[in-house]
Amino acid sequence: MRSISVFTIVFSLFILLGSCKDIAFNNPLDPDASKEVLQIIRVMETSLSGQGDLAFDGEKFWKISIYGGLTAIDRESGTVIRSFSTEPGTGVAFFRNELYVCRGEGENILHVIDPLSGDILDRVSTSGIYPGFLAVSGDRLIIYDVRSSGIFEYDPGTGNAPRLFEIPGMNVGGMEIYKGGLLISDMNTDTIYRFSLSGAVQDVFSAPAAGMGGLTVDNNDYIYLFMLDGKIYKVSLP
Amino acid sequence: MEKFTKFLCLKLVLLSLALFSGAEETLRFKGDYFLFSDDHSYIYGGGNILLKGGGRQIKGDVLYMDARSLTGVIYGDVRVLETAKKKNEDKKYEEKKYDAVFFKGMPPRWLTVSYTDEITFGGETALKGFFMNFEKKPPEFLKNSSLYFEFREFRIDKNQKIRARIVVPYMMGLPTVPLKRFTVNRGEWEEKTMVAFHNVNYTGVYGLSLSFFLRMREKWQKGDYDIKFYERKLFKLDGVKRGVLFSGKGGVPVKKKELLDYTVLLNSGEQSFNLRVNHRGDFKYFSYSLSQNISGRENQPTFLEFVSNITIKKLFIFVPGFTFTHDWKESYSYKVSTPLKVWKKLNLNVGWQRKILAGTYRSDTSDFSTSLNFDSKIFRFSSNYNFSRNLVEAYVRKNFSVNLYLKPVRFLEDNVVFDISSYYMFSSLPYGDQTRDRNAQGLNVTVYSEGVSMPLGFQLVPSFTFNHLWDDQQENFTDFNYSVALLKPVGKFTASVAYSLASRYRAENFWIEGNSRQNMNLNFEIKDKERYSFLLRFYYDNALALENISLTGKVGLPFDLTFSSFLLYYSEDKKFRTVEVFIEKAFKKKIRIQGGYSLALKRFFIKFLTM
Repeated sequence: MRSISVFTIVFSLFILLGSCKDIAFNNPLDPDASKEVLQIIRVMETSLSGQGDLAFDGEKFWKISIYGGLTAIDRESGTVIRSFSTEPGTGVAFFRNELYVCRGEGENILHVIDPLSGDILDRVSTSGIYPGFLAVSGDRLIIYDVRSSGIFEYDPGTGNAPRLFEIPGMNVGGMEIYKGGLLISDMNTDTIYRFSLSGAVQDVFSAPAAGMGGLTVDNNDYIYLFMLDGKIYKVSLP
Repeated sequence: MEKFTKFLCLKLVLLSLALFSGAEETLRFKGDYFLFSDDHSYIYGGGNILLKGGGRQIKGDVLYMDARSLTGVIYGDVRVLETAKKKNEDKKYEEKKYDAVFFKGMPPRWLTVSYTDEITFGGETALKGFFMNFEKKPPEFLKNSSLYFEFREFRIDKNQKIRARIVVPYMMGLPTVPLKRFTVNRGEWEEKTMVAFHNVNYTGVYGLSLSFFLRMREKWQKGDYDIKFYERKLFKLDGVKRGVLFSGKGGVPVKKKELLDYTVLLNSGEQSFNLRVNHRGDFKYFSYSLSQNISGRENQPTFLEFVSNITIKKLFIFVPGFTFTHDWKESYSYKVSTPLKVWKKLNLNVGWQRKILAGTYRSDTSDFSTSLNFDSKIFRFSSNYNFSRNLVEAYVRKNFSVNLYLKPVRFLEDNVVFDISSYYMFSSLPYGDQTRDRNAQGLNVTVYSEGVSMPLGFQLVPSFTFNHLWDDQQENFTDFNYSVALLKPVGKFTASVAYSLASRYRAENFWIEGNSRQNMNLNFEIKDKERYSFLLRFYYDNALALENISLTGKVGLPFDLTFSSFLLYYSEDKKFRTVEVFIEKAFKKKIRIQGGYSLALKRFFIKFLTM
């Protein structure tokens, strides 16, 4: 009997909420009052949790963990496709068909990993830059440097790394290139900042839930926010 | 013949050790659950741990053990009973309680640990250093290994071999065929100076690589290193023609204490190097560390950085620490921090850091941060305040947050669980030439069930999340996330349908506007925990039209052969976007061959590696 009650309550809510699809209840007297905001497209559950950024390789996500481990997950369902045992890391980027991983505090090295076999292909010293988070812009890596709290444009071929701007006071959770700018999540305030590559703040958005970690962007410009409890929010920005 | 002679010598040494040790020859472990990670050579145990041997019987809750060095610790309501009696002794030993018991080697050496106002050690206090530096690897970390094993009992015999019974191996997280007996192969990297072949790998993009493992166990130097040789030109591949990558970590011991430890990286392809040398000291009232990094790359200036840290062990309720960093040029930073244990469950952390960087750019920042945490039976409270001032560009970034989490409330025999949390946040950040202040408060309610039994063997798993945000910048939002899954298990087969709906609403005067997105999955799973698992998933988009089909499968075949695959088909393109196939074969538990192909990367690999 209790089961039937729960079933009835659940499906009543289901029907009630299901009746409101897409844009609902627009103000008919002033259609322009509708404001473009961060929209939640989908919420996925994953078996992962904790800090560590996300990267998109063109078909699936890679999640690095501060406890160690690099995991490939399906971008639509959150299903784990495969995982490699790695040293703990904070940042990850898919660059030139390879996975670049960094460890943040205390190490000025980039680790290059084969996404197929999990083998470490290369380790590159970054000298005065302590990479905490990574993003890809053309043939350059964008690096958040833990030592200086600065954003650098790093050329892996030569090691040249001009500084773009700095963001002291932020507790960075993830970083990704978005429409020519840079999206950075701040774990202190559960906020997503959109910077131009010259450092100007273009927009600020609140995370759809508390406890935001890494983020990434797919090839349709949808943004995926990884929550520390393992949920992934697929959202779009205006 | 040479192998036989080595084998004979090793046996003789072990036999003589066993004869002269006088202790019990075997350590036996039992518990609810043990996990051995092949990649990390590490054992985790949880629940009713019982260790017998070495003249003791030890009970505890959790075991962490490094299988390579036979070093471990048992935690949680640890009870030790001496079982070895001296001749003509009738004395009955009492059970003693500790917070942890640490052991090392075979026959084992013991160290007991009790936490009162200060840490009290018993047994071989010379092991204190090992205990303090012992790395605890949790099961969720070990389960990231490509290969791990689960079992309920094991023993370490006189030959220092770890033997387990009724073992379930997991490859890439999926269970495979169980084994009746299993020996943890500790012999691969012996505790002596040696060079061993590690793996050979070929991919169509990176060419051929050959990896060796170098272990140094000399009086003046200890370390483990990877040496990788690669060849690309021979296979007409782009990039560096050929090269060597040398990396690893080691230490310089003096009188059985580690004077220095270091990490090293040499890369002939990038023509770069990185060396970090550390020294640590531990005294009664304080500890300190000194670290020097030197790194460089062709056509780039050499980077030198020195870091020193001193931590006072306890000054009333303070544990202050000071860190100074200097790059031997004009950049330096200093940091003061202290955790304060105000009350049993009330912790406060305060820290301040000033960073002054000079070189091709100039930066000067001052960061102050503080956090307060309280944990009770009913709720958890945390608060943070951060203040950062950029002294060059003259702007300030600050934020303050308060979070309150109520512990989950359960109803209907734990079938329905309520999670409620709320937060307040204030932030002030630079926005162009101005400062933007933001106040936000939020309330999050999650209601979920672990499953409700329905008629005809169906199972319903509903979940509902409500999230309301009051934001003085982005106005107010209400989010609803709703999901429901209906499952029908039939033996090894499970069919399920899962529906989810995500909505966000905003009030605009009298009117409300918002949007909703939905999706649905149809899942068919067939799983034999020990032999195979396949999951076929049909994914339907917002219009409930078929978007993609995925198949994940793994099967354990005879002769230690494992096959796994992942296929993703998109109905809009009418083509496979991803086809990944992997196969692994083990030879006499000594060598593994792994191979795989990815359609998306248009790449295959084949790898031989020692186990």
